[in-house]
Amino acid sequence: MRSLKTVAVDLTPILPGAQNGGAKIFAIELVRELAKLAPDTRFILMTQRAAHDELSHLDAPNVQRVLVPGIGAIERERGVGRLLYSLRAAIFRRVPRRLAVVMSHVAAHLIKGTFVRPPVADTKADLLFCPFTAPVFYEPGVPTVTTIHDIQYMVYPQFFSAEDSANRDLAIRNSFRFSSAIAAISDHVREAVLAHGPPDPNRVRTIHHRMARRLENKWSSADRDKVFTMLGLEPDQYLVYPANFWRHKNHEMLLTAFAMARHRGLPDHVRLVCTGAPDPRRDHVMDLAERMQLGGKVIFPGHLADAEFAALVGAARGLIFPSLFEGFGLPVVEAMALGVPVACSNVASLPEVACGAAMLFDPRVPDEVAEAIMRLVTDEAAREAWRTAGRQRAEQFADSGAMAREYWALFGFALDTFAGRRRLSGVHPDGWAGAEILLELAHDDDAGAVEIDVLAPEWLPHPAVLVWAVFSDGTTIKTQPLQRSERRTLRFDLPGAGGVARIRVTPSFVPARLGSSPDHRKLSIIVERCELIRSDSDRLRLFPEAHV
Amino acid sequence: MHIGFDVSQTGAGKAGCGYFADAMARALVDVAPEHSYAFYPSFGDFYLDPKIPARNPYPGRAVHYGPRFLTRESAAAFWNAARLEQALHHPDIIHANNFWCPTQVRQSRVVYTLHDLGFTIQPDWTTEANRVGCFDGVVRAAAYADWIIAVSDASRRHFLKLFPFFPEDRVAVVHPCSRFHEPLGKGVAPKSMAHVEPGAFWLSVGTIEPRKNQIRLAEAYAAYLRAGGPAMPLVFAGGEGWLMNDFHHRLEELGIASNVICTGYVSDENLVWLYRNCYANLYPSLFEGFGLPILEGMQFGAPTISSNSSSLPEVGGDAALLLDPEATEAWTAAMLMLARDRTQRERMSADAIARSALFDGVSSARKLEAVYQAALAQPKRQIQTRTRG
Repeated sequence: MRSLKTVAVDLTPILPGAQNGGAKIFAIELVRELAKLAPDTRFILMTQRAAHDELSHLDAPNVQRVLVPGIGAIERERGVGRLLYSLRAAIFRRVPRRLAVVMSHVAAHLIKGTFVRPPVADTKADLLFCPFTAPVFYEPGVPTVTTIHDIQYMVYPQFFSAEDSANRDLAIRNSFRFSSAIAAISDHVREAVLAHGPPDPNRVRTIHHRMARRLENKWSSADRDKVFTMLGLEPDQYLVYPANFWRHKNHEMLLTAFAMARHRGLPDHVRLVCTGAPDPRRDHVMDLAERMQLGGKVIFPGHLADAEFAALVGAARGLIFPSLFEGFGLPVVEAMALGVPVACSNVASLPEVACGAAMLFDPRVPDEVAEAIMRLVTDEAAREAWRTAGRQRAEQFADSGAMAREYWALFGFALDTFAGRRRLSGVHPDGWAGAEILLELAHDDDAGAVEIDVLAPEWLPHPAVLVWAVFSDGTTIKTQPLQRSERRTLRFDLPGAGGVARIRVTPSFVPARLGSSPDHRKLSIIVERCELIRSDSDRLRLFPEAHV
Repeated sequence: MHIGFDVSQTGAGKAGCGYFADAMARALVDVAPEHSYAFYPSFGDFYLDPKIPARNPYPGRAVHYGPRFLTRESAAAFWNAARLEQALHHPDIIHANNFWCPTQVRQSRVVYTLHDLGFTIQPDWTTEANRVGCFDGVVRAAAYADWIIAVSDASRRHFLKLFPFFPEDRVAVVHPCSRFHEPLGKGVAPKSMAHVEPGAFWLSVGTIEPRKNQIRLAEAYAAYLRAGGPAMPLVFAGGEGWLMNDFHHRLEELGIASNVICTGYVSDENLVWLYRNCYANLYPSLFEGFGLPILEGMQFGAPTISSNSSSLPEVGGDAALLLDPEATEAWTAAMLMLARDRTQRERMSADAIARSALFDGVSSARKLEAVYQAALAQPKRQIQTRTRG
């Protein structure tokens, strides 16, 4: 492997508390292990202001946090600052928090190139790692590794707004496009990625979450007493479902099945504990529970500190996990590691993760879920079998050092196979370009010029747009303004092999904001053709491309 | 009484749910014209038909129409608003017919039509998007509706099994009725039936989809032919549903492709002709909320062999031959028997007409009105207060 002196890690999606779900737990655990594994490598953790201090526990001689201004903070700076401000405000007012994770990346796109200096270029990183998928800080010439957690928006589009789906799609497609290597957190995710996307299968590896022991020995008897007193619980007399109140977590089904099980003779003292951060969906689920006459039988403790959470899971009679979709399913293996019997859905990644060590049920069939609840509480022989099998299965996911080594090997693969690649980005498949068209040349390219046919449609909101090119050697070439309805062939001479040309277009617009269409993309002009010209007879078509 | 009634699924291309709402709306203004009605062409944010006709399909003395929405977002904003009742002018009754159920209603009595719970038995019978929407709606109804109208006693029992906390005395059965009214007419033969003699074909009506179990019927029919049953063609009348790309392939494999006619989607006129002229109507469905195609067939005197699953015995009663939908041999035997016994066929035809007369829209509408009166006379459903411990 070539040497990895510096690795930049994009932790800017991390929000305070539990709003990122399992992805945050994973990213933090992995960074800590990587830093131990490679003491001579410097890790630069990019953070947003809201979580910057919270992450100070990651600091180490070879680990340093860098606050990325603008992300997650309210920065009033001229027009862009105001736009950012209003966008952030909108994010936090209207959308569930986990969506804000993705949205903050969109905000980053908006501000990148304006007043945020590209941190990756600044830090002279040898590799950029994006544990939250979107390669927002991608820099030409720096190999990039991303982790893909799920592609739920493709399977359950109704659980996402159109805008949110578009943003998730952008994150995934950019990951495909810019990553030298991709980690999928389960075979289920890897197969979905390969089914939906173009990446070379060799570039996509499954690396399971290995941190099943996260909760082991995490609590004292005081923690335990505290959480039981607070919630009015007794050990071994409740089932636990650790999940935020996201739509795919299927709480409606769980409540229905729990009420059915009670009607079928589930001992009256058995309660159900649904952890998860408060939000409007939780209010709805709590109200449902009341109306289903489960008041007092279903407990909603809200987000718990790690020690309390560990104590709660560790003393549960069982873990019931009726989720409709998971990329991995960390709580399942965490409970297994603690010797808690598990019953979980038979969908998405869960059969792969549970692998015979849990009772599986169809999370769409109330009868099956109710039956699973009954057996989890009352079938002593099965409980013992799952407990034993679960502990063994959890062993497979216990070694977070091994997970770090797998990632380290993937970084090495990315570095070794990275040669810089010729590509055009910033142009959508339908030809619309965003505010910047990025042309990267391979290290061995010897193109002389690039030719681009562009069109400004007659209904463009602005009378004219400016187009100019900035090259990696700093030269800038301006062109005459492109008028509405005008079609033109632009030709720029290129400075040499391996360079980068940024073709910028201003102003751009978002059709949805003009009320003219549901299109949420940021658009500028239409690219009809783009070719590299090595000589008059040797032309290489970059757009339209045969395949993405 | 001021009755708000969801007619969102009564537009073109309606299915069972839409026919029920349409028939009840029509019959209600007829049998109870003293009430005022608001018909909602949009209801909730699950089902949306922006193309629902803007005409007045239910003429009456005091009939109004609710707002229409072109997008799901605008419908969601209206129907999920905290002050929904005010926006609807405080109806006494809000009757949901499309699986969606409001949760914020404080005064109006919410009446909810339960069409079918098949998606809780075999989720793959429908799309996942539809399953999620239907389940969500039914759970909300179990928690927030004042009354449930089940379209069959089987559906009523199924609902109470899933939601045992729901008060039994607030779940009523109101049967749907046939969509065909007097005068019945002779109907029109579908083009694909040009070469088939009236009275000499087996009929099976319904969208071609796994739940309707047409593949097993085709297998039973193949065995019937092998056993020397009279070579009457088997006619599948219904559009191609989903997950059935291999249906035609299966017919080839069974060697009956030339004996089977698939008409595709048929008009009401075609359906009347098919029911009137079939040798018998075969309905092997694995699960139904009610089972309109057997009722409608019986109305036209079609001898009926039906599945004995879910609600179908309630509809077919003694007039139909009821068989286990998975017991292919039993279907073969019944077809062989019926094909050779004309007397039995004629008796079943007469029984069918008599049986179908038990289901009519007017008595269903009267039952519905009685539920509205009862709902209004009672307080809203009380929710047990929280007990800790």
